[in-house]
Amino acid sequence: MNASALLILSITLPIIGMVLIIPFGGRWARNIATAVLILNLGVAALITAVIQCKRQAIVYASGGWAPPLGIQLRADGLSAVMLLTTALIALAAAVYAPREFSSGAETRKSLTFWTLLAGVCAAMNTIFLGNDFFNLYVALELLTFAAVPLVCMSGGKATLEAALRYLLFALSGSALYLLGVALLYGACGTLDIGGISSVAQPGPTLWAAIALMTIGLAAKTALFPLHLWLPPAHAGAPPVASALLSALVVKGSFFLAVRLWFDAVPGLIGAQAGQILGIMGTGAIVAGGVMALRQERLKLLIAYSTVAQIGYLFLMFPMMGQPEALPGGMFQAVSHAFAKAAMFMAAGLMAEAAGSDRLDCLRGVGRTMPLTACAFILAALSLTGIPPTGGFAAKWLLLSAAFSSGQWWWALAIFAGGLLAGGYMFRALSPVISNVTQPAVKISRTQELAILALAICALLPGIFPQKPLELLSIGRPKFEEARP
Amino acid sequence: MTATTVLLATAFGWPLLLAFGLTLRSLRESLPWLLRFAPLPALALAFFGTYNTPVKMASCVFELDAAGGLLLAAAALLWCIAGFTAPSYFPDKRPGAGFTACWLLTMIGSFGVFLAADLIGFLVFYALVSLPAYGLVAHDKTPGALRAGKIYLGFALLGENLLLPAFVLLCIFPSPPPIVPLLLIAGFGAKIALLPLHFWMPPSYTAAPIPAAAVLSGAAVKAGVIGLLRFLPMESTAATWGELLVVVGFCGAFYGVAVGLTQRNPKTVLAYSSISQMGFLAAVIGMGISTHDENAIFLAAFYAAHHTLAKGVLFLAIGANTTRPARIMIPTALVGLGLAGLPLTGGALAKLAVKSSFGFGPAATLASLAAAATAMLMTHFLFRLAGTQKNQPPFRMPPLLIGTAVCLAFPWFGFPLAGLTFADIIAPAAVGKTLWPVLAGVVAAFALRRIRLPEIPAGDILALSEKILPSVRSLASMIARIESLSRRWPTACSLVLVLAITLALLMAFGFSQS
Repeated sequence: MNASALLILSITLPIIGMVLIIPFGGRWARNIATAVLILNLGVAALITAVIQCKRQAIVYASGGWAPPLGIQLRADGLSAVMLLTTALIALAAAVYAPREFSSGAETRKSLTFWTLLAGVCAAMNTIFLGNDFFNLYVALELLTFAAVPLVCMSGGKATLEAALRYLLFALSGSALYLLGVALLYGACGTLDIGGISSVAQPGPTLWAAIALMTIGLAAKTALFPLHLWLPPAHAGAPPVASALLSALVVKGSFFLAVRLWFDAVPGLIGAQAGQILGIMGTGAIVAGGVMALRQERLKLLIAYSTVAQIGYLFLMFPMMGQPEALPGGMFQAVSHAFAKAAMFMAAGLMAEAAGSDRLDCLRGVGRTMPLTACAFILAALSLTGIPPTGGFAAKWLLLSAAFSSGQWWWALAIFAGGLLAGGYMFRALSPVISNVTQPAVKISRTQELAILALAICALLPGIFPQKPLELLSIGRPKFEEARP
Repeated sequence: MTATTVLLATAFGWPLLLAFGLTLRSLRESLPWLLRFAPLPALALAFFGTYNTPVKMASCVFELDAAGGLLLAAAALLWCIAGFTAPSYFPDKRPGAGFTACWLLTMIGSFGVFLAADLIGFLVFYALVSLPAYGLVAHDKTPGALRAGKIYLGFALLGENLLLPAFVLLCIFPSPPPIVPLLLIAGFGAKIALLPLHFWMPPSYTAAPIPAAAVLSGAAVKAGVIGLLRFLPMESTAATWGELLVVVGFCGAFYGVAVGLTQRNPKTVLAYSSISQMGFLAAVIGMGISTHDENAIFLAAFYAAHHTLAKGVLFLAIGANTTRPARIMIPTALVGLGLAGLPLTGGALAKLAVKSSFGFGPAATLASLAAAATAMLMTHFLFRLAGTQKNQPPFRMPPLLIGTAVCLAFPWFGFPLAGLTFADIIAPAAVGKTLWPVLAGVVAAFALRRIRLPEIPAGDILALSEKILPSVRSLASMIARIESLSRRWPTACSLVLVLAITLALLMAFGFSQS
């Protein structure tokens, strides 16, 4: 089998799953989705293995037409890492979800959930493999339309309002992105990433295009101060939906920004422009951290911690020239994805046991579910950046990039972020580990194990940083190896 | 695979295995009893391991050196002795699984920092010795303990976040910029309670259960000492930083005694004595740096190793109980005054060893005065120990007596390494030099007994630092107001446009510059 067929498979598999779920429905929905996600994980692993062995990117030109005539799919090290992350988290979400969405008979909720889970997966895979900015726009829209209904699955008034808020803001982000894409096409005559990087000339059109696309993507990623949709969206969403939203969906638009800045026009953006993204990131770290400290509900605390953690992702843009910057940001994206998914799912189980997710009601809940509490602690350590977690490796790489580029001021942002993260994670943890006795509840071991597996995945990039670092550099000529 | 590798693996693996054993209900009952055996492989490693040969394990490098090995031996002995007493502190002789897990993890970290020979490995173990100890400090879950735990954790996180950039800089620059020593001194200083980062220590040790206070004050705090010794190279660090350490250290040495004398709770008195002792040790390290004297590394470690055991035993003495008070008071007096340099005790050897670092100038006089101050504080501690009602379940005596013996004898095994000869120690001049501060201190303490000092709240300037909380709160609420403003539609939409335009203009500006 041709390796490039894997790329097609990676996109079509979840879509086939979506299509099958709708007619079969009922109790089949869960089985179809789970099977598709397992296969998807296999495909992602195969793609990674092929890239790892061949030490080069896999390319597929659809219909045999090379760009600029045709549309190309391309999987490099970056894609492989994100494909694997997405596949693992989506599968864990499927394992975690059953209790909520598979009581047997078909309900509106269960059908929606399984279809959307496959949809999110399809959209994410397309984003990671796409190599054409219009094609990527379609994937981005698919992602938004799969994510918005996840927010309002419970169907209450407040969640509908939050979903509409998300939809409107995300669509205005898309509009900016699309406008930018049009300008980009005008400036370069192609939308293929490789093509742009070879023909793009600096000029007002190109700058306007990049600025519009970047801010549009930042709005979709909920980068401070453009995060108005994120906290309300999490407030009423089911935990598994929150996990998908925080761990994966926001990473989709972030990934596009990375493609745009690091792959399409790396040399054409002056050093100053990156600073503004870094400043927004710093604002996110501080404001998100302070707001997380002030929350009374666990879910909102975790949601605001997402606002803060997204800030770290954008610290890599001002340090673009440094070899450690890109891996630093990607380490943060991956370890935040795993840790945050674990945390939302754990919060869901704990809130279910305690009957509420208010922090003062959660006291002692860790004693009734030690595995979940353990996963929660591990995830919190990774988000705080305590060695040897993935979050620590990310901070280390970002700090190296900051210092070796002479931009030491980003170290202050990371310092403040570390203290704030310690504070809000302590706030989340202290009721969980307190020794108040709670009535015992029946908990599902599989759900707990899925959460623990995610939390352990968040540690791995910190314990074994070499493999992902090598993988990230494959298929990227300008990228030199960086050691933490 | 050499014997050292096996010992290394078991030194970490065995306590880790015990920690995992906590997940089995059948083992959970007997585990506290096993705590005393947890440090044995590390102890064996310190005695039988091969020194000065790096061992690569997993992705970390470990190496035993003289300073690390000495501290490792002392720490392992203390963990062992404290492990004997730990279960009897608890009502049904059974600490909770959380306490046991935190105890074991802190122990692993405390051994690891002495052995790690690479930057990342050191940071991992440093986090391990700092963070799980929250579970020891806050164990009693009283409001005071929870507050102390919060302050403790805040300082641990502050230290972590100061050290991280310092280590990154050490890693990427061959000759680190001048900010690095400052970050290191502040980061490790937060751990060893260097002035003015000291005020977490008294509340923490007062709140922690006695066995936990013993290991934290004795063993865990030495993670900061070994950090200073390892990462501020005596030869290449600028002498200014050494002088800073000397000044701050001596300030701490006298400040700790001054505030400690006003305290009535014996645990708090010991916490202040730790501030004073760690200040003195920082001064020793600072003298080494300012004179670029490589020997100071081992001498400081020698002093620290004695302090590990002495402080641990003194804490355990607070919990010991017997019908004949003399059986507690005599060993405690020997150890306590030993800390001040009572001749022929282990403490006297430690004092003699570091004496050469101070030379003959004013620093030497200050060092003698610090010894007198220590003797004074220790006498005060003995008064408080005798005068305190014991409401905890008593420890059995043997661990205390064994601990005393080990503490008095331990430095006798290491003194030739510290450049002392037997003749130096028993020479009348040397005896006299270490004796007068002790006598002066004891006399002064008796004199002070007649004056009733006002009691300063444990953590002294903590009360002051809580005064700035309102302004921190108002800053936070200002940030919150900005945040909620940015979440309104009109602001967010205009921000989108403003940011897009700014970004485009900056790109144009950046291009015109280049």
